[in-house]
Amino acid sequence: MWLPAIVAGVAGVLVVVALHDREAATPLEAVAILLASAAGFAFDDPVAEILAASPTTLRQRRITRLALLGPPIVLTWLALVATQGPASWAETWALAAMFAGLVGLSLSIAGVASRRSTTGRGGIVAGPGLFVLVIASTLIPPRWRPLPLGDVPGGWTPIYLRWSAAAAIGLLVLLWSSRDPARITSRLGIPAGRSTPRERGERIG
Amino acid sequence: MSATGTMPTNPRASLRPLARVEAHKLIRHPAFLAGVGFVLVGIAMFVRAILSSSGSTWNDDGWTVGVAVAVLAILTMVAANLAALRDRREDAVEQHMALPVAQSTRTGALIAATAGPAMVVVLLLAGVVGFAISRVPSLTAADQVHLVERLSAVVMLGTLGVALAGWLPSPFVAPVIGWGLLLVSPGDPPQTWQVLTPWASLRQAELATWHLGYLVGLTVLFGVAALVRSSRSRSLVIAGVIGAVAVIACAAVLFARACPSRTGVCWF
Repeated sequence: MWLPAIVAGVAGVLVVVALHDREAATPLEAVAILLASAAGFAFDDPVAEILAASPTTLRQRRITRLALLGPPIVLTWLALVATQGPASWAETWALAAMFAGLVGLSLSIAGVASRRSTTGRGGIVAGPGLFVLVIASTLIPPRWRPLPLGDVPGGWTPIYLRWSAAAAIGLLVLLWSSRDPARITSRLGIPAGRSTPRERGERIG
Repeated sequence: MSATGTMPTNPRASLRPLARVEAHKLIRHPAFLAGVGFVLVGIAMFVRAILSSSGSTWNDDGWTVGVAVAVLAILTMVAANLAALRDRREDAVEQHMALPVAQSTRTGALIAATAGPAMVVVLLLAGVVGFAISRVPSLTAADQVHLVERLSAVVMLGTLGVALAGWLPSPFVAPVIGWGLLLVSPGDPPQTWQVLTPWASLRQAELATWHLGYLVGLTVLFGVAALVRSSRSRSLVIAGVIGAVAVIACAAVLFARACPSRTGVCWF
């Protein structure tokens, strides 16, 4: 969990130092992608299978891990934004929305992948998943591009809205993927992660 | 032969079936399949441009295919990197050390497996080039070299993915390198050093051929870097020297001739 965040932080510093003379957007977009990809490793837990049987729910376990990894990542991003110095507040808010959107998407991909994998390691999917999503977004004309890197028609407002929507969708998918597979939802007392005999098409009784 | 016995006398005998298995795994990897999706979209955009405009040429509209194959090459690197990190991810490194197949053979098989994605790219490009030749003026010599360059970039980045797994064994690294490769793509106007990026498309066939040689040299170097983690032999040293000489010689020619200082215009 920590190694990607440390590598991303160091790489982010190098990017800002190397591209300090350029417009703020390019290096800070790169930094946001780096840190968001690292955030995807938040749920990688070597003992996930053992803790799956503990009374602490999956959502609580994920919140705990995010509470550990989230602040250093956000603080690193804030420090690098302050160092690079965007041209205006409007650009700062756009970059903030983009960072939130990328982190939200990365966490949602990692959340879904962790839930589906037997080892609980979804971080390996977060980076490539984010890459594919952003590149796929560039195939769409700028007027409708859902994840805009750079300018789009309409000024700052579409950028705020689209990245905020990406963050919200990412959060919702993350919450959905964080349902505990062992929670009891039926009157038969069968955990949600398992199908009932009736759902499996078996005869009861 | 038992696990504690001697290594096979002919590593090539085990390399081929291993490479075949790894190649099948690579071309079915979700990251690679996503890349194939991008190439199909790039091909569709090119075909639409040709059908909708009578004056289309490969030079004007074929860039969608080239960019898509570049993205596929990056995703091949990610897939090869994840394949090479499989042992570590499953905590099976020590177990696999006891196998009768040497680690260098398994690494060599992963490198050889990049031929699988390359074959898929050949098939995709053959289809679109065949269509292009039937509809637009024939491809220039530089265009043809660019196609071979894109193909070699797939093998080169696949090999880089394997090398990264040996030296920087974290699944976080390969996607970051991929983003970096996109970030350093030649802009408009390009800078001289950008001739050394994999995506520099030189407009002269001769210079493009030097760039192709540069990519092949890098492939050899990455292959040596991947193999030298587990095996040190004289042939590896020789291959490394050949790769380094090729890279330095081609880079020197490209630096000297891609952006002649007198004109201030770059050939890419």
